[in-house]
Amino acid sequence: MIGPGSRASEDGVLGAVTLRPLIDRSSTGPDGLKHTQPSNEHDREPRVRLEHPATGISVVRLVGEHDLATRDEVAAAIDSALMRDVVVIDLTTTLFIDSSILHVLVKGAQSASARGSRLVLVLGSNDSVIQTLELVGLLPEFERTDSIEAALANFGGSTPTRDDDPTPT
Amino acid sequence: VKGETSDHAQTVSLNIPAKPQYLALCRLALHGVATCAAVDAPTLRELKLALTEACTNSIIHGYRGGQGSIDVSLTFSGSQLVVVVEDAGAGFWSMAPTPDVDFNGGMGLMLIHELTDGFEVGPGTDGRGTRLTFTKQLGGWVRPELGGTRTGNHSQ
Repeated sequence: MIGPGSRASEDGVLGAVTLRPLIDRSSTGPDGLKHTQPSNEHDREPRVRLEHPATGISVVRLVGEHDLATRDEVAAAIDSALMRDVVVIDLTTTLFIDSSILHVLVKGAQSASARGSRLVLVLGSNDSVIQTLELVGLLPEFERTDSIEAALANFGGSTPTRDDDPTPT
Repeated sequence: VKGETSDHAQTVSLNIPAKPQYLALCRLALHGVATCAAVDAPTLRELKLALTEACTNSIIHGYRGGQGSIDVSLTFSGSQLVVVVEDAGAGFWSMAPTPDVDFNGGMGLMLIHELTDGFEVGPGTDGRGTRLTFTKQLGGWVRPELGGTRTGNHSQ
């Protein structure tokens, strides 16, 4: 496993994270009709979402393509999420990650270890992300679970908290 | 974006500002060109990662976050794609690729090494900056109109 790192969420600043909410794909067009954008291979727009589905557990969801352009946003979300006991990184809808994001994930795991918390990856059947992790030999280094549901069942508490509320409970 | 054609190769090239927000544009261009050449999805994934790492190196190590631009060219020749990424920055070409994962640098070059069929790094045009070139075999088939030949199995 990845050992304790040199940085353990040293800023500890909650609320400093600027997160773009997931786009409501059902939008009303100029014709007054509801239009739903497809969520598929061509949906590359990077989005980061931080959720707290249960007490003591945070989920950081990376949607679309992520690289140096979103590195700081991803790092900030993980730093904020590390205030909980368990941080689940949902990569099931991630279309692309590069070494910039791998670096952030490793730092996050190191910070979690230093804090006595856990960082768990959910990869699903995402070949793209799995392949990237395998290429650099990091896949076995991360704690992983099959799905968000499994993560919540294994690690989640019973009391849901308000979605997107970064305040620890 | 511009294109050049010869008897044996076709090149699509673009010039981007050395800023992270343009990395996606590089991948988009690659995706479009590779789709024209019928590159398979796993190979395209590898190419996108290698190209992103090359451009990221130019941004971080070449220009060190400062102003500049990056030239990217994608050349289909025979059954391979040759990608050239060149900047006019400080020059990171003397950095030797390392087989070990080094989180302070070197992971990008290591990924390019793993993902491609050969790469080289050296000084850019006129000795300035860095020129990184990598090649990738494209599953033995490239559309003939792109200068490709049938050298392997192809289901189409």
